[in-house]
Amino acid sequence: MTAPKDILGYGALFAIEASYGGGVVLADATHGLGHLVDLPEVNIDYAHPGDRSGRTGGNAARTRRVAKSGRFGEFTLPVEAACPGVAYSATRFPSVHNLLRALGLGVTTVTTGGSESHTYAPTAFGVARASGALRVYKHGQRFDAVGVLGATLVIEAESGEVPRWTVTLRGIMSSGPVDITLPVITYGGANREAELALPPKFEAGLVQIGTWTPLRVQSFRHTLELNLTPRRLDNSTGAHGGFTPGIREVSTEVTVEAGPLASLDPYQLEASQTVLTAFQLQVGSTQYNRWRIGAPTLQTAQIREVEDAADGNTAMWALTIDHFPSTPTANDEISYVFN
Amino acid sequence: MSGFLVDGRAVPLQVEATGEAAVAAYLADTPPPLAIRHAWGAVDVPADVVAQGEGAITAFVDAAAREALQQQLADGGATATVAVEDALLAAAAEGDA
Repeated sequence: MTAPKDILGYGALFAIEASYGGGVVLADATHGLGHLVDLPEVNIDYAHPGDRSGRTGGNAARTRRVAKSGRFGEFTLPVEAACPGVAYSATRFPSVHNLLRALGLGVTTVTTGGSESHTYAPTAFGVARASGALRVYKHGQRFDAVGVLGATLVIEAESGEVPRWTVTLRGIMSSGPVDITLPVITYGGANREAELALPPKFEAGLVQIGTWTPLRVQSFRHTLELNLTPRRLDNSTGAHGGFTPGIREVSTEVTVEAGPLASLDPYQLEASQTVLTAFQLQVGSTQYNRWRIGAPTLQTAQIREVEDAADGNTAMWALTIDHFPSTPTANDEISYVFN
Repeated sequence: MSGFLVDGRAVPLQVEATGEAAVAAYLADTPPPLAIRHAWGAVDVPADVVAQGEGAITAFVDAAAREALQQQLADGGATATVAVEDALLAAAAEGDA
C-alpha cells in the first residue's frame, strides 16, 4: 500500500534569474530559502480557463471546455527575516534578500568597514527588475515556476515577537507538479549565515513617527503591493506570458500607546495631511542583526487614518500611514535597511 | 544599469544571477568610483596634482586620507567616515578630463 502524502514536510528553493522567465537550475545544496516557517501556499491557475462562449444547439446546454492554457502559480511564503550576525558584503545578505529583489527592490550595498549595510528600495524605471526561479516542496510534490515576481509583502508583529513576513509571488509554470520525496535542503554555510541565525525580535527597536518616538508599540503591519498584471500568452508556446508590475502602494499600520498631543497630534495630521518627514520602524538593535523599515529622513509619509484603540486599560492609537515618494521622480517612499 | 549597487558599482543582473563567485570576480575587476574610494577622507588636492590626472589624484588622496584616518583612530575615533568634499569631486572630474 502506498504511503499517504503528508503535509508536514515542506521547503523552497529560490534564486534570481539572469533574464525574465529564463529560469535557473535550482539546487537543494545552494538555493534553499531559509526561515520558511510554515507550509507555503500554492495556487495553480490559468490565464485562459478553457471556457467557450455560446451553447450547444440540440440540448440547451453549455458547450464543454477546451484545454486550459497559460498556467501560472501564486505562491504565498511565510518567512522570517534573519541577519548574518557578521558584517555584510557583496555576497553576504539577509535571509530575505532574493525575496526583496523579486519584490521590485534594488539593493545598495555599502562595504565600508564597520558600517556595512544593504538598503533595499524600489527599482527606478529603466533599471532591469530582478525576477526569480522558485521551487516549492509540499504535500509530497514539487512545484516549479520561473519569471517569478513578488506581488505583495506583508510584515507584521506584536511587540516581543519575531515579525512574520508573508511574501506572495506569481510565476510562470510551464509544467504541473510532480511527485517527489522531500529532499534534504542545505541551509547555512559560507556567506549564508543568515539562513541559520535566529531572527531579531520586535523589541528594543526604535519606532519613529515624524519627530515622535513612542515608547510602547503594541503591533505593526506593513504592506507593499506591486499590483502585478498578467501579460498575454506566448504565441509560439501557449505558455503564460508572465507579469508586469504596476503602481506601488506602501502603507504601515502601527498601534502605539497614545501620547501627548504636543508630541504627535495624529488627528491634526490626519486632517491636514502634513507629511511626516521621518518614519522608521526598527526590529532588533544589535549591529548585523537588525533591520528597519523606512529611514530617518527622506521619507514622505502621511497619516491616512487614526483610530482610538485600547490595550487593556491603556489608551492606544491605531495609525495607518501611507508612504509616498519625496518627488515625482524619486523612488524613495520606502526602504528596508539591514545594517 | 542594475538594481544591485555595491559601493557605487552597478552589478549587472546577469552577473548577480550567476552566483556569488561571479559577483566577487566582477567586483574585483571593477574599482569603485573615486568618490566612494575616498569617502572616508576629505582632502584638498593641489592644482599641480590635479593637472597630472586621476592617477596622481588617487595616489595623493590615498596617502593623505590614510594619514587622516590614522590620526582619527589615534584620537580615539572608532570609525572615520567623512563625506567627500565637493572640491575633491570637482578636482577628480577635472583630472579625468
